[in-house]
Amino acid sequence: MNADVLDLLRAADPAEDMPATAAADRERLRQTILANSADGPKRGWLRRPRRPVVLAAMAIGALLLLCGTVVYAGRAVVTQPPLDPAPTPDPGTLMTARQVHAEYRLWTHKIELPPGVKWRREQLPTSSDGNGDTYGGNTGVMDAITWAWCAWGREWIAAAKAHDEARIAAAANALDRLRSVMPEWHEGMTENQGGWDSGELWVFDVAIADAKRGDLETLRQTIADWIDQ
Amino acid sequence: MDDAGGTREERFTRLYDAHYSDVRAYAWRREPDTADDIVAETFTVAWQRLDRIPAEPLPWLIGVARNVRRNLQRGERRRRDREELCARSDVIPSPAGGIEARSSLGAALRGLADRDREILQLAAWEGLDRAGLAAALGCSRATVAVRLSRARRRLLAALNAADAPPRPGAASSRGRVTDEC
Repeated sequence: MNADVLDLLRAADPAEDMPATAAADRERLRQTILANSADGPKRGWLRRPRRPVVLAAMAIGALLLLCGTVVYAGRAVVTQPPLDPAPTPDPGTLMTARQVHAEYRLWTHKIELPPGVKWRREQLPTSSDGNGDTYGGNTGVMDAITWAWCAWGREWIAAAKAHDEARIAAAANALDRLRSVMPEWHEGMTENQGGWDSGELWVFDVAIADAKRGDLETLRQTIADWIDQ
Repeated sequence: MDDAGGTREERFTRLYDAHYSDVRAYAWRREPDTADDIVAETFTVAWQRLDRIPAEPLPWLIGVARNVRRNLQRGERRRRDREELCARSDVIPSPAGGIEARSSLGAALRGLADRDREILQLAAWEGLDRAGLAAALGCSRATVAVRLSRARRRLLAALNAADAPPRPGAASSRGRVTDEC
């Protein structure tokens, strides 16, 4: 049924009516691009649009991440909070892959996995050399929560199969805790303010509620959405 | 790129020839008035960053075009004005592409949140898979999987709601996914 929705969209592709570009115009554009930058990348030009906005945002993001790390470490030592919800990133937050990995590692220390399960190496979409790639806020948080959700979801399913009530209770507790810290994305926030929106969070709620009633299908579906990642 | 051989110019030309139509279609579907500007700026960026383009270049190019489009929109009121104008006519504004407003699909698309609409269009019209969507949108594939799944269900719910007899005061189908989906 879902595929039908995309099929409907494909059938209504506006590009079907797109007028063709004259070959001469297309070639003229190619020549213009090459002529205006005949020596290849000009670093000053390349970085021009990045300088005022992106670099400042990256600096802010790095500062936020650094501050968040310190605050978390302080709290962890003093109060050992159960799990603090992920903070809402600044609207302009952009993180480097290194910062995302740091955020991911931070959360792997906050979240427990089922016995015997290890954290996977975080997978980020990157360009060929990875230089200059930026990511929205909470990318590392969401990846860590995603992996933990799948791990505990599988644990729940396996425990149910084995009729192991203690393991089921542990998995239920773990998923409740994960759900409580999932960053939320609201209408009006930017794409750089990473989080799950209300519809997505509702599905997680349903998955947990169904599972507690013994129906693991929705939980299976949430894992299936991610398992091939 | 499939073939990294040749001079920079040759590599760029292969990229340009292979994906000019894809990028132009992306732009035209969303901003026909400025499609050619988006294409020109996108391939200018591609030329400047030729050494950084991944092996599968289309999602990267779409991501650049997406940013170019946003930059062109930023600070402008034209698009909003056009949407308001279109709202008073039978022509649908750009968010739903060129689909007629009176069609249930066009209406359902317009009712979706921007990011739901965007991911559906990228999947259907640009044919990007999850990895491609993640690269174009700059988020993880896990996020893409959830977002795409939910967007599909919301569109389906909106279509079903459009087909159903209107109920006075009925709430928008946007937002939560319901069991009826």
